[in-house]
Amino acid sequence: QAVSVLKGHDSKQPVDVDADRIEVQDRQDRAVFSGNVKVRQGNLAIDAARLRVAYRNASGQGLEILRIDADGGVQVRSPSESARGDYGIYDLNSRIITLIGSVSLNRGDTQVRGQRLVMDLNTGRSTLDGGNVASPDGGRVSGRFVVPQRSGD
Amino acid sequence: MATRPARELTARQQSALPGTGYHKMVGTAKWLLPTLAGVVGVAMLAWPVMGGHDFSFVLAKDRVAIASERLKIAQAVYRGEDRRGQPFVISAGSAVQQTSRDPVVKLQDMAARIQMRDGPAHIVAKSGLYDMESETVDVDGPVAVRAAGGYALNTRDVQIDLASRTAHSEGPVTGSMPLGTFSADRIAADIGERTVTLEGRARLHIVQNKVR
Repeated sequence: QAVSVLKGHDSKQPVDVDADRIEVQDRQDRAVFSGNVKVRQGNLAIDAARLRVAYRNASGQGLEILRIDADGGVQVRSPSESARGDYGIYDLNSRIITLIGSVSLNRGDTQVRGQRLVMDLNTGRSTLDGGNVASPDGGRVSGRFVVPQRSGD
Repeated sequence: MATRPARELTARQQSALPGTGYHKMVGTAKWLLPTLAGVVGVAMLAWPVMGGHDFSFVLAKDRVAIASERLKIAQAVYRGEDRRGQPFVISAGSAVQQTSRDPVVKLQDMAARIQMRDGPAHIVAKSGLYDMESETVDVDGPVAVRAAGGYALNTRDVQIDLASRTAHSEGPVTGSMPLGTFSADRIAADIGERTVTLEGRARLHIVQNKVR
């Protein structure tokens, strides 16, 4: 089942963030989180060592989060899969999560590894690519796929 | 001088002869007037003392009531300016300064108001120590902060530096700001730069598109 539970995920839902330290720089419309940061939005969870949230606070329309940048062992989890990478970018407007740097995606028993993972929350589909030739393991993608047993398990 | 015979006395002299009315009048006056003077003199002297309650008091340095503090003000108001010349006002129900050497004033029911570019910030606390020299306020106990731009927080045990308009708390904080509602073990805020730093189990709940 290649479609994620996150299909049609509403990025406008409230976001809860826990961290050891939160520094809000209201003038730059930015907040920096550091120290086992945990982000929860609906059934999407992002954990990382550091995280920056860029938001827009136009008077009248209320607050809107534009983008979340995470780095330091980024983990993106949902009920149907979990992915890991060195850097993560969650673009709330286009509803796309991108993971970069020694990425691995686990869905059920299947695990694929590569350099870049793009999770499209609109379609619920994830595409993984090995990056370019210069990246580790030569831009190749590797994966371990488990074929369900024939005998009707 | 030989005494003149009675017959040659003038009418006036005859009226003054012993036994005449005038003579008796002068005789009695001779003792009556001094006595009257004496009585009036004594009355004047005795009058204040006899006058029932005692007006006089004795100012003895050791028996006079001594105030324990150097300066005690009710409804005190302190005005000052931070480094950028923006005014701050500290008002208190009562302010006590122990000695003139010690610039620290103990405030009760304290309220500080700091002017900012986009409006005032109000800090309210039950009691606080205002150091007039370093322009800092130390509060132990609950503190409430309301600032323009949608900041409202409650914390405890705060030190406020009015000159640099920064504050940090030792105690836990809960509150709300434009980005959302939050809580943490400690908070540090630079009111001028509008940065808020939450430390220790910091939690932030961001609600989007809530039109304020």
